[in-house]
Amino acid sequence: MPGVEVTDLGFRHGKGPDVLSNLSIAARPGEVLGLLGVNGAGKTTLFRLIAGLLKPRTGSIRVAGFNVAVDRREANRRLGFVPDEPLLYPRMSAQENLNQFAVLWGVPGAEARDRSESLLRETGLWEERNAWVEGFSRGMRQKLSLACALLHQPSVLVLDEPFNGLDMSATLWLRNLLRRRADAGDCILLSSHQPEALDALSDRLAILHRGGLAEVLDRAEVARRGGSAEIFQATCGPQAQHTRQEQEQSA
Amino acid sequence: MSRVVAAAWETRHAFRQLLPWRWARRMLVAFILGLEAWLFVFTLFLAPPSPRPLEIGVVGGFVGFNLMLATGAAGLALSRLLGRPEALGLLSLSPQPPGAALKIALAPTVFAALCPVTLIGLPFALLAARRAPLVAASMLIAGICALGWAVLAAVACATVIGRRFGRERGARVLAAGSGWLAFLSMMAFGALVRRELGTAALVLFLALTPLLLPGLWERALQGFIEVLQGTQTPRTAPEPAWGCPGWGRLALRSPWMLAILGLAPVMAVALERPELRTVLCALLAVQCVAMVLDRLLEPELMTPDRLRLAPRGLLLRTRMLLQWGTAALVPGAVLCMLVGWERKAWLLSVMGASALIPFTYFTAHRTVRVAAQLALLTAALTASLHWGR
Repeated sequence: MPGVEVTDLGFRHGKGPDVLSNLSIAARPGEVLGLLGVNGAGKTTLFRLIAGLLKPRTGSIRVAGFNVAVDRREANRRLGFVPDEPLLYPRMSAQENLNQFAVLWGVPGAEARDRSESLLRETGLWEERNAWVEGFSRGMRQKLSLACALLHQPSVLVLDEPFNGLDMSATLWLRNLLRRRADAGDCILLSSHQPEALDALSDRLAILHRGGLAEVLDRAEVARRGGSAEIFQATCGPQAQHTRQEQEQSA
Repeated sequence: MSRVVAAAWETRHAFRQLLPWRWARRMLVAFILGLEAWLFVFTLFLAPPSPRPLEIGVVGGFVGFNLMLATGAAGLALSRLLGRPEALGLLSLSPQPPGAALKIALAPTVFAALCPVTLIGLPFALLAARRAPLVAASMLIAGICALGWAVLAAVACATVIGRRFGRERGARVLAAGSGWLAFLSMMAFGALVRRELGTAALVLFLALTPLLLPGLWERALQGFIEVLQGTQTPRTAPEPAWGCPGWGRLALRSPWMLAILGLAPVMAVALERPELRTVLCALLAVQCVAMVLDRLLEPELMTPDRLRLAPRGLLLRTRMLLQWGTAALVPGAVLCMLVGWERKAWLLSVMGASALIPFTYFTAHRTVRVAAQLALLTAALTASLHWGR
């Protein structure tokens, strides 16, 4: 099945405790799979494993049908990855960054130019296309990071907290974009600390807790149980309570 | 928390940032303390009496030396604050009175300037005290004045450079310039100390310091705050050549000119001392390749995930290392051929070591890479000593 398939995945940093153990999860083409979990639950580690940036201790990962351990290059051609820290070149302009990513992903120059223009206009960065990224705000960097990940037209998107730093219009743009891409058959995995974004976007919701998969729920079940925030609190218990109190205090 | 404690923490934090490894910090401290202890024993008990009586005029040379060295050290410390003014921003949020935050943030700079003055000036003052207590006292007072002027000079330079180049680039320029100033002061130690400026100059220096320094210090601080708080003009770049990698552009945006200028003293020594030419040529040939590739790969070494993630990352990195590594090899090869065409074994060994430098960039671990580069440099230098004469 193309998409993302994770089977019996286990991972630990060096000789430390298990970050992930016996994790099995699948994201199908045409769906948005939201990932929920407290800080340190292993979401970012899982995404880095899927991108092939970390090596699993046990288990296997397939991206668009390619085993990441064996065919990482082919898997990465089909993967668009937005990490929590953008991988941009600070001393390059937005256009230069897109060109550099096009070169790295093997997108021909003419196509890269057209797609870059379209992505920069969509993200609202067209006016700033020649400015160095070091002067960009967090939200602008996040938008450019998304544009770079979409440039090679991947069929699988793995987005680690993509809504961080985005203003309301950019958040809505991203939601619509991800929905459109999922409807067109792309597979999308994302994590977010914004329950309303996950509720609006996710076809299924997976809850990661203590290195394993606590629950996988479809949209109807999420709605029946009162939304992702309630499910998160019920599943993750005191840790979620702590997170919720922090959110309330900050609000 | 008192300001002294805050300044101490700030200094400690800066030291940790400079040397992130605990073992390296401990080794450096142990080395400095050992050197200092040896210098004290030497100056107090072992040093032979001066062939001529110490005169007050000699102190001028020491002041000049301390001033250069302390300015260099202070500039290096200040470049950190100029490049990352967030530290000052955080301190400004603390319940400190206005202006105190900057003084706390400047603590590492003062400490950096104090180190060379204390470590080198104090033992020589003690040596002088054995014969001429008056000279020793004047050395101490002049040393303290030199410290004040050094910090002022560093702050003024940082302000001018920050205005001219912007904060981030200015920090690099300041760090490079300060490093060379400190190095040159060490090289020129003998010449500076021999240069007897005379009692009049020293008295004038001591008299003018309390008159001029406080006022200039306030103005310099004000200017520096403006640079740190000022908004920067966003920099722009022309449209890229679509389909062509942009590492060359990135390399040109790094302070490469300073790196090339950094090789000038080596060239000057090579012209002056013919017996050292082969050794210095080997140094230049190996360092030239490492310097070019360091500049070129800097963004990729800082964010290694990008090339690991990209399907063509390994291919492009290999191509870049081969193309740019070969190009960087040419100047060193030409220089070595001009200097020692008849010494084939030396030529081959130096070129071999230089040609292997690009391969050290295939490892992701910085320590391994630096160790491998040092091993290649040592091999080239050893070959120069063995076959280059």
